[in-house]
Amino acid sequence: MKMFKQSGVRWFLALFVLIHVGCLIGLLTFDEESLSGFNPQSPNLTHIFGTTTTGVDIGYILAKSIPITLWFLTLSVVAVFCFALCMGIVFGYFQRLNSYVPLLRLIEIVNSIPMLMVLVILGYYHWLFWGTFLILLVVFKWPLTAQIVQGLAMSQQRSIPVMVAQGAGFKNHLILRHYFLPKILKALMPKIPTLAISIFNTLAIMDYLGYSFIGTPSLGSLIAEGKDNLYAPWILLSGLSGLLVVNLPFITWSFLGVAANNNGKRLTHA
Amino acid sequence: MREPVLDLTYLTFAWPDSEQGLIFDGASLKLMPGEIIGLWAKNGQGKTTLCHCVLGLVPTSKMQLTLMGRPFEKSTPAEWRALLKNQTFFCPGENFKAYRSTLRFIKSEMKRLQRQDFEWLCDLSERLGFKSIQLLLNYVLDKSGKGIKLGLLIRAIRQPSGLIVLDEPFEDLPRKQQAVLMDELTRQACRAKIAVMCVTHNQDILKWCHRALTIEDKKLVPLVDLGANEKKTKLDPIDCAFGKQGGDVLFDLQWKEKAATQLPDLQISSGQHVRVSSQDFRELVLEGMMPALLGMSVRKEVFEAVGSFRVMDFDLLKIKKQSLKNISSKQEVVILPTAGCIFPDGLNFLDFFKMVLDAKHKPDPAKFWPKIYQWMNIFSLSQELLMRNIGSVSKGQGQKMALIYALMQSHAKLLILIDPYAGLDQRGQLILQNVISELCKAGKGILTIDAN
Repeated sequence: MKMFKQSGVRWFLALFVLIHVGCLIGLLTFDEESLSGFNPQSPNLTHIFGTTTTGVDIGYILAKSIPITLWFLTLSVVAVFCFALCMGIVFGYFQRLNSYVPLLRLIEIVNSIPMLMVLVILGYYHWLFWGTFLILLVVFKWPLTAQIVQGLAMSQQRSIPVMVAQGAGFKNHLILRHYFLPKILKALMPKIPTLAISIFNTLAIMDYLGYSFIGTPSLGSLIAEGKDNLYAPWILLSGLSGLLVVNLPFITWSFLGVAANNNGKRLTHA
Repeated sequence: MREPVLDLTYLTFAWPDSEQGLIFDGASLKLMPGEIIGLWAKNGQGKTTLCHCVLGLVPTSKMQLTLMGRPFEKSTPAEWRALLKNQTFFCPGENFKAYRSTLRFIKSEMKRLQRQDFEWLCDLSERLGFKSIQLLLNYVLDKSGKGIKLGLLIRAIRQPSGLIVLDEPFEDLPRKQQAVLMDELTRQACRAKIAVMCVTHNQDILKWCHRALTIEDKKLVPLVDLGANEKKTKLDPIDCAFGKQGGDVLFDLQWKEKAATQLPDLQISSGQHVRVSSQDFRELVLEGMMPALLGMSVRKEVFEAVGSFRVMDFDLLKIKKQSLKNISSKQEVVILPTAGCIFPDGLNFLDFFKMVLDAKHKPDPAKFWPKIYQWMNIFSLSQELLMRNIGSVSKGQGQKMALIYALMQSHAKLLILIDPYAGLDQRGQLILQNVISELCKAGKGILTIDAN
C-alpha cells in the first residue's frame, strides 16, 4: 500500500480515471444521425474533432480506442513487469541456477530476435489478436527489466542483513519478500514508465502498419489515414494527440517520481 | 549583549499516529556561542527527536525557535533550508544507509578542506594516527562506509559559525581519535561563533561538555547526579577475557607472522568471553567468516593475513563450502551486527520474530513468546514496541531488540556480537554485561568486537 502514497502513482491513477471519464462522456454524447453530409468534415460544434474521410466521427474513434489502448498497455506493463521481476529475483537469489540456465545468454538470444518482424509475419497470417500480442510482448520485453532486477538481487544477496537472515535459517520466500522485494521495487518504480512507453511504441507502430487487434478504427490507423489525407490535418493531429493522451499518465508518473526522489536526497544533510 | 546561537522555548512534540503521547511538553533550551552541551537520557526519551526539533526538521505542535537570530516561524521553507545549510551542521547517529550520497558529500567537503586548510588537515591526519592525508582520505572515503563518521566529524570541526549537532558522534571511534576530535572541537568553539550540542551515553564525553542536560518529565533539566550514574556502571577493560578456560575450543584464529605483530591471536573456549577492539576483526567476521559459514565465496584479501581459522572444529580456510553449511543450518554460531543491519525496513518486530520462530527446527510458540516478553522486561522495553519497526524506534531500543534476537538463538554455542553497546544507555550496558556473564556460566563462548 506504500506504493499508492507516492505522488507519481497517485497522479497516474487520477489521470487514468479522468481519461476514462472523459471518454465515457464522449461516447454517451455521440449522435450517429448527425454524420450525414460531406466528409471529411472539419472540426465544428457537432463534431468537435471533425470526421474521417469515411464519415466516422474522430471524437467517437478517440473515445473508443483510447481506453482500450490504455487498458491493454497497463495490462501488458503489469505482465512484463511481473514476469521480469520473477525471473530477475529467482536468477539473482538462487545464483546456482545460472550454471544450468545462463540468464544473460538467454537475454542475448531474445534480444537478437527482431521483434517487429515476428509481429508483422504473425499479423500477415492473421494470428495476431490481443492474447498472442500480449504473450509476444512479455516474451520480447522482459530482458531489460530482468537484467536490472538480477543485478540488484545479486548485490542484495551479499548484504549483511540478508546474510544474518540466512544464518538464522529464515525461509527463502520470506527473505525474498521482506528483504529483496521492497528494495527492488523502490529502485524499479521509476523504470515502469520507460517500459510502458517502449511497449506503447510497439503497439502504435503495429497499429500504424495496419495490424491492429482493437477491431474498430484505432489510433494508429487514424494517423495512417491522416498521413494519406494531409488536406484534412485534423485527422492526423487528432491521432497524434490521442497517442499523447495514452502516454500522459505514464509520463506524469515518471516526472513526479523523479522529482520526489531528488527532494528526499536534498533533505539528507541539513 | 551576546546573541544566543539557539533559543528554543515551549517545545511541545508528539509523534503523529503514535500511542506514546507527548515526548516534550514545554521544553526550553538556550545555547550561547562557545558553549558545548551534552545531552544524556535513557533510550527512547527523545534525544534524537530533540536534535531534529532544534533544526526544525520535524513539524511540532508548539515551539518558538530562533537560530542565529532568525525566527523559525517567520522564515519560508527555502530561507530556513539555506540557514540550515550555511549555519548548522548535523552529524546523525544512525548507521549510514545512503552511503553513496553521504560519501559524495564528504568527498566534496574534503577537497574543499584540502584547498583551504591543507596544513591543518596534515597535522590532524597525523594526530589521528594516519601517516599522510591520502591515507586519511582513503579511510574516510572507503566504499564500505567505515570512515563516514570520522569524515563528518572532521567536516563539523571546520564549521565556520552556527550550531553543530552531534548525535552520539564518538561511539564508533577509537579513544585516541575521540580525544583529538574533542580537543579540536573545543578550540573551534572558542575561536568561532559556534555552539555544540552533543548527544551521548558516554561519561567521558559528558565531562568534556561545559554543561550536561537530561530529559525529565518531558522537559530539559540540568543533569546533577552524573557521579551517581558513573558509580553504577563499570565497563570491562579493553581486550579482556573472563570465564572458565580449557573447555571446547569454539573459535581459534591465528594470524600469519607479519600480521601477528600487530594483531593478537584469538582463542575462545566454551564459557569464555573475549572482548576485542579492532576494525580488522570486524571485517574478518562480516566479510570473511559470515559468507564462509553460508557457503558463499570470500574475497581473497580478507583471509590473506590469516594463518589458520577454526570455528567449531571446522577449518574455514581448507574445508569445502558445502560442509560449512552444516554449522549455519544448526545455528550454532550467531553473528550479531548492529540493529540497523539486522531488521529489514518497514517490517515490524513482531513479524520478524515470527520468522525467527518459523526458522527453528522444532517451533514451540508456547515457550518462545513468553521468553521474548521476559527479555523485553529485562531490558525495560514496553511490549507495545513489538508492533513497531526499526525506523520508528530509537537507536538504543533497536539495539536492545537486536540483542534479544541473538539471545533467543538457544542452540548457539558461539555468539559474536559486533558493537553490542552501541546506543545503549547506562542501565542497558549494565544489563548486557550481566547477561553476558550469565551466558558464559551457561557454557557459551562470546566474542564482542567494539571500537572502545
